Amino acid sequence: MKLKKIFALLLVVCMTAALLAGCGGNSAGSDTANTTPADTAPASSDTGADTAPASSDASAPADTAPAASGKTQLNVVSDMFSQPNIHDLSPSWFVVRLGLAETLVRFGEDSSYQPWLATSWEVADDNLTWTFHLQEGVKFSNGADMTATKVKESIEYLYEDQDPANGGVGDALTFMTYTSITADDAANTVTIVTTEPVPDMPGVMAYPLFAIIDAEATRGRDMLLEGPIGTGPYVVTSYTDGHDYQLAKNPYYWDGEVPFETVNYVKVAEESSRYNALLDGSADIATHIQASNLPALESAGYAVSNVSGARDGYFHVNFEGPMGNDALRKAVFMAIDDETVCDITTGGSYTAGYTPLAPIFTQWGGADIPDVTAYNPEEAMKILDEAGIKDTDGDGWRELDGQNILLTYVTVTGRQMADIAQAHATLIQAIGVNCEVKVVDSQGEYMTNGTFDMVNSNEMIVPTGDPVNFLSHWYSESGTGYNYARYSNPDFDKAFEALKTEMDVSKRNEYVKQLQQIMVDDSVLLLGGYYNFNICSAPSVTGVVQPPCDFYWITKDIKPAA
Amino acid sequence: MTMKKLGTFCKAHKAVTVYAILVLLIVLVAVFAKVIAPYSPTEASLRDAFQPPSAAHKFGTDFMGRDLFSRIIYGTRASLSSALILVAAAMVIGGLLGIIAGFAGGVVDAVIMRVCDTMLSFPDLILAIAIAGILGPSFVNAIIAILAVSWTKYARLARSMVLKIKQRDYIAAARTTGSRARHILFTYMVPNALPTLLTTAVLDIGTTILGISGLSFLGFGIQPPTPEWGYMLSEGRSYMQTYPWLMIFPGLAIFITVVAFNLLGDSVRDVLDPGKARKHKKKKRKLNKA
Amino acid sequence: MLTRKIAKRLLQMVIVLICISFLTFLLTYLAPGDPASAMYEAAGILPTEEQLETARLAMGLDKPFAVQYGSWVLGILHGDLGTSFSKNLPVGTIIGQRLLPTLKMALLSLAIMLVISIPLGVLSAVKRDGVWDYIIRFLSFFGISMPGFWLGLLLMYVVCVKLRLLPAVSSSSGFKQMLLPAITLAIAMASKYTRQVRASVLEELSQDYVVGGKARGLKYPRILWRHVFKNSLLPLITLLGISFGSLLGGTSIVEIVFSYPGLGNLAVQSVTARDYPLIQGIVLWVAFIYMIVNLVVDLTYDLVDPRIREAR
Repeated sequence: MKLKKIFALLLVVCMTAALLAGCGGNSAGSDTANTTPADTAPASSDTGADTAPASSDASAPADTAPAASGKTQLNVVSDMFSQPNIHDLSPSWFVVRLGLAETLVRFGEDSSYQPWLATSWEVADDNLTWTFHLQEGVKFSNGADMTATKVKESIEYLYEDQDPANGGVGDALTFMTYTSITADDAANTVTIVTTEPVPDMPGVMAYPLFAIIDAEATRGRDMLLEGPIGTGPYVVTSYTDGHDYQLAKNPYYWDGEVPFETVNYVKVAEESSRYNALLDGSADIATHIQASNLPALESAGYAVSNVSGARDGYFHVNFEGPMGNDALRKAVFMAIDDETVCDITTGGSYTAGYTPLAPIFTQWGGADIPDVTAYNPEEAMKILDEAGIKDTDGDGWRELDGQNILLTYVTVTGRQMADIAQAHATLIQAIGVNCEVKVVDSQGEYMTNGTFDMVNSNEMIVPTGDPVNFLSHWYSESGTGYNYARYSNPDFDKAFEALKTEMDVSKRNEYVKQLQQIMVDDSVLLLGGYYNFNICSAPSVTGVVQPPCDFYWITKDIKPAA
Repeated sequence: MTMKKLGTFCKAHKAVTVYAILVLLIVLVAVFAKVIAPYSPTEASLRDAFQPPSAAHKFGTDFMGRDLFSRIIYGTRASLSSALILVAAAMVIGGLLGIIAGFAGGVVDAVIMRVCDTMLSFPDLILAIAIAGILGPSFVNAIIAILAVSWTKYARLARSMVLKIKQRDYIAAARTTGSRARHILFTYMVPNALPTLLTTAVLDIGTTILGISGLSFLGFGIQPPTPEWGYMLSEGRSYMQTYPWLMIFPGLAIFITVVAFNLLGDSVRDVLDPGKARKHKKKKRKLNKA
Repeated sequence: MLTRKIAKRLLQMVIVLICISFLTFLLTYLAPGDPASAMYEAAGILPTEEQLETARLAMGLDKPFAVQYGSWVLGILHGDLGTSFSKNLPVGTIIGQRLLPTLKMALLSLAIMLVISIPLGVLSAVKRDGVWDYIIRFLSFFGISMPGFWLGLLLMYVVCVKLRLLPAVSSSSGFKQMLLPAITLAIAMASKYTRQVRASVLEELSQDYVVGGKARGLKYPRILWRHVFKNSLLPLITLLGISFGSLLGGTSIVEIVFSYPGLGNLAVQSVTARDYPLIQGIVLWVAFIYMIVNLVVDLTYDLVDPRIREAR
């Protein structure tokens, strides 16, 4: 009798486990197992090759990928996750990345402004009145037409949510403020009158925060749980916060047939796991594959879409600390062997450079600016010696005005920034300046309080196709809540103020170049490197292309391979 | 203890001797890290990063071009010292509180035991993670976090031992003859509880090393560039494909150390708890006869 | 009798729960830094002094400790665990999303563990001091000394990277996706259980009835399976309960290594984000469920084991 009870108990445990595991596999949107045939080519033949896909099994993923007609689910693994909150700054990126909502304007592969939900736009002579002509026949995912009124409501809803008076955070207001929005449903246009000239207005409208949603319908649901009602190719069916999204086709999509019935998006923080997921066929698309693995992927027939320059991994230097000393700062900049740090320490995840804006943006003339702090440790030590920053107490470290120096890097671990900081610290120690690294969960507090010598930032430099927002970090009027370096230079301020209101593109570019020149001359921004962002895709899908700005991941153009 | 006595002890308890020597070796590695390690653990040579194991670098180099072998040798210090400090602290704090609870009884007992129950109602590392996370990532905080959970085991143990001997005649005699509480505590209670507490402590060292390295692995422990095994393993895991030695060797170091301490713990228990061992032997005889 | 025992245990539980809630609250109360700025930071916002002041008032940070604690407990009693700083959702909702995956993982890993440890434990005891015994004891010893995160990484390296047998990314949606993390968890547990099974089978084997049975000429397998086995499994129930309870609290390290959407993963996320309400919620929940499971196990034990029943 007792025995029976115990066995029954064990049996129940085992069966429940099997049952739960089993029926889970059949539930909606979770058929990762189905698209991964059980016999996913156990390529045991390549056990000798450490870097995985030897060319011999290059065809393996293609073999296991079901035929185009049979592939109905797109599997994506990524290192990022946010909630589908279109009215929050960085989560809004996610909404557009997942293909849930779209913007009036979009960035092209050359970072130019391209039509999307708006077909064209123009600004009146007052430099304030912008008119956007809307695409015909666009529908929201609930079937409602995207009329001019809906667009107006969408923007108004954003500003209502963002208004500090309503407890909002006010991010949208830093992009632009308006005096009026009018919708003309007959002409299908929306006219926005801004309070002051906004030279990058199309870029603002391309920023994900300004994606168009059905305000009325979205108000009626819990956006944080269900996502907004947008015009994108996919809609959220469910999600587990911090882990995965299950998306389904938007039946009302306006721009052609949506290629996949469902999308399974999973956050996988481990770099090696994302790479493995691509190789074993459980993912069609993976973001951020470590640079050292890319050659092997490419030779195995995977597509690698790599973009460099849109994002800087850099450090703000604190001008109110010892780094305010010009000689010390210059010497520290010269101590950094950026080529080695980028190519070896980060394994090529970053590209070395010294201008705040990558030289690939030729319009801002980075290539014409000479590198006054190129790697030269001997010269750095000479500068320190000449400035009297010497080791006088024999402890092996130099002192500044008789005071011991200990430079502190404050950094988070994300995007290998802690690795870069540690490499920097080593190089700085090599010129006799003591330096330490403090790894933190979040650097915000340190930035605002100024309790750092170098603090890491990893930032999109042209979020609206224009660097003005990024450059305002060093504008003295920005205050320590944004000008973390506590930098102040009247020349910079003057040029920056001119940039802010200038509408003429070539003159704007000239100002930007001027600002870059000042920053390089003053050694203001300690660059770790330009981040190389990549999206890799298996031969099972086509059309995965990464434009310089990483706002578009899952698009209507990603299709099953023929 | 004279040499002769030591010799006799070693002969009588071969297992303990062998494992103690093993552990001693590990301790010596920590003490003489400077002599054993060919390089400084923090000396980086960026251009020599990610070198596979070779004659110059037995275990290869990490992303900063630091010698992995030297870092692992020095890492012994962090792991051993923290585990020993932690276990000792847990034993002293927990043991004393347990003895006091058992001896005093009443409200004191109830309060201490309820606190114990509270701590024991958290499985695994979850409370330690919360504490370490809230206090901020640092090695000391990680130790405090684990200590907050681990003392309870000793408290319960010590209390039960005290309760067992509390009613014995000699304690009662001491009480009636007017011995002071402190005297009774330290003359009878502490020495009585000590062997069991010590055995538990030795058995606990391995688990503690695992716990600390686990917290470090999650990023709630030590700050770089101090070499610590759990953190090194965590640094190495993203290079699993291309540079597998970065995760293999630190893990091996943890594993070997834990094995050594567990072996010692098991054998010490057999020695200090001879009653149990004898009972087993008797049973075996009985079985054989049957 | 039983009802009285349950009532007593429940009363004890309530006391401990109060202690836990106090401890949990104290923990975040004592945390360095300002919860208001932590809230903004967790949401990735750099607040102005004005915003901070408003938030402090809204969060009741100006009130004395006892009042803050009281209103927090009152909220919990109404089922309101607060709102997560970093995710802006009710803590209950977020934890709720993780429950099923955590439960599935707990059950699967326990099942695998039993499949490994019971046969090995019995074999080891029956063949005491034989070759098998030594091999099994050796293996279980190594299993106990193995760091879970290392084992997980090694398994991933061998099974996923080299052999490509299982997907590297785990999820709660399918058996294959759960297998590797479950095995990792099971191996560490199985080592402990194998030892336990071995010890209790040995204990039973030495009982007089075994000796007597043999003397009476009963067949050995019959004694072994009909009597020894079932009696020696009893102590396992308590241990199983503890393991189950602790698995339900999530297993941070293994979940992190395999990107599994369980509670432990969430706990680490919440700590990294300094999401105090979420941390409090998780800690409270985990302690609660752990206690419940232990209570249930104790009571089951009473029901199953006649010796205890008779003793009453």
